[in-house]
Amino acid sequence: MTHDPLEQMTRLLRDATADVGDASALPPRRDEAIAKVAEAIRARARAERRRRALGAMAVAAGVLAVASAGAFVAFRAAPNATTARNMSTDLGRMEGSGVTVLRDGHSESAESGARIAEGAELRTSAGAEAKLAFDSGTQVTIGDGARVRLVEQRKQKRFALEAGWLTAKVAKLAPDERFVVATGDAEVEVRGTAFRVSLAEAGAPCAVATPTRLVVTEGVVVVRHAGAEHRVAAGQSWPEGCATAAQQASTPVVAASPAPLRDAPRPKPADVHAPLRASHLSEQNDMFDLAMREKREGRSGEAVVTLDRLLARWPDGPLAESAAAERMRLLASSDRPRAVRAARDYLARWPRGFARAEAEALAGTP
Amino acid sequence: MWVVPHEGTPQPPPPALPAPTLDDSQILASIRAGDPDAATALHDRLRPVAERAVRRLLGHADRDREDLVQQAIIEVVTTAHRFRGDCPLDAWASTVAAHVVYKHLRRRMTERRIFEAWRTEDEGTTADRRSLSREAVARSTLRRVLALLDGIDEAKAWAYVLHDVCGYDLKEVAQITETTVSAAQSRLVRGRRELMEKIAADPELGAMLARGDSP
Repeated sequence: MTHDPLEQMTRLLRDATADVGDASALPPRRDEAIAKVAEAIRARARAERRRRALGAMAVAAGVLAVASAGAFVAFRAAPNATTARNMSTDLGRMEGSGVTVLRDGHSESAESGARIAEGAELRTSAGAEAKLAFDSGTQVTIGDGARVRLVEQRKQKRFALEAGWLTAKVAKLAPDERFVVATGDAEVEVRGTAFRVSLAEAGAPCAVATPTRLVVTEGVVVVRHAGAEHRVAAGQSWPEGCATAAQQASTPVVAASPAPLRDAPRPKPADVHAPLRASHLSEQNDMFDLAMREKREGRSGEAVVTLDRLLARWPDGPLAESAAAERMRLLASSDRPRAVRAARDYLARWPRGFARAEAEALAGTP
Repeated sequence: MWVVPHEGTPQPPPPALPAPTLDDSQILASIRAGDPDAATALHDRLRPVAERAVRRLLGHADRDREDLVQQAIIEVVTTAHRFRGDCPLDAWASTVAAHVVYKHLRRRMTERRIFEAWRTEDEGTTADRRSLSREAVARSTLRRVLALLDGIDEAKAWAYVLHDVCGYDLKEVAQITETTVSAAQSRLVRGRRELMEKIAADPELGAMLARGDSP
């Protein structure tokens, strides 16, 4: 028997509290108590229904806002399709950890299971890998040290790979669906396949002047680069020979390697795009001009989409700031919440930019 | 030493529960589906658990006991979405009931001391199990112990009582007292230390405790 006085005291208190008497006897007012519990269950169900209804209303309001901005695009692309069909979204669910989500000028750690909204930028830390799982069955794995922007997440899924690598296993797409991964100088479009896109370091040996590396493991992928389209079938890579050459030289950024390339030096966006700016400047100018023409003709929704594409393809291009500012202005007159997000994104990226005052006014910051 | 509650303490056999018509997972599924027909099964299943938890902290004769037991069962309904099934339903319901009592006692500004009920409880309950003289000694010691508990910070006293006396684990103590696990642990360690210091400063109480410990 111990003589620890605290233990003796605790035992005394336990004795006192353990003797609770007969707690199993049902109370005389049992029916009344059960009625109250039943009412609590009903109240909980009502609250749950209200919560769902509010959530659905919020989603509907968001969808309507998006629809009003993109109405012209929807009708032009599919004149016979219903609006709802064009508005449907399938947001990817995050699996894994070590991912930072940047959105609306704020950054936060992505929780496993969270749905990642359109417009967000995902950054994986060194050694971390994340997976985006879509309800359609499509899976996108984002490699370590990668930067990926989710430009569009509706019928058309558009990702902008700004650094690192990603692999995608794309479920069969409906005729009106698209799945596109854009790098600084190329667009990779698929229709139900598996592939891997990565950015090679600047100066990696390759006959084609591009940092983009693509390896297709299933199906067929279309690559658009420098105004030309290339079909890449399963087992092939693009640019042809570059992956092999780099593999032989043990360059770890080659896409053919299925393992994450953790020690690969990450190209700085400026380095990656510097040699390409001159060759693609006219293309960027054309796209910017197209957006401005659409704006002048009152086709704001189309102009926003064009600017989105420009920003996705050349996120660090010389027209990026102007495009972001124009996009923010266009959204200000059609979709206030998105305009506020665009303003915050602009301020986060160009805190001393030429459109700073407009962005601050829109974002509500001094 | 403190982690396992009721060590060496003879426990009354658990009372026979009314046979539930639904098992725990069915009850929870019905609650989540908003089926009020599950109310009877839930009430009869959890009432003894909530009753024991409330009585331990509040005593047999507290005027609010009945309401608090009912409130605890309703709280189980409203927080059903938080129950992930990583502990038995009994433990969850007991923690919820203790939380209800904790909040209730903290609202009672004039009667905020823990174990208030044990000071005024009628003595008939335990008299059958002990001789009257030993009972008197035990009650006298208990009164001094309760006064000692009153002398330390309330948060630390709650951590000690819930963990060491009532047997809730640290996570549960944190839930009951609406704090973090690390804060609950810190309060527990400091509470024990303060109690040890107070017992050391009161040799008479130490002697009383030692006498109470002998068979």
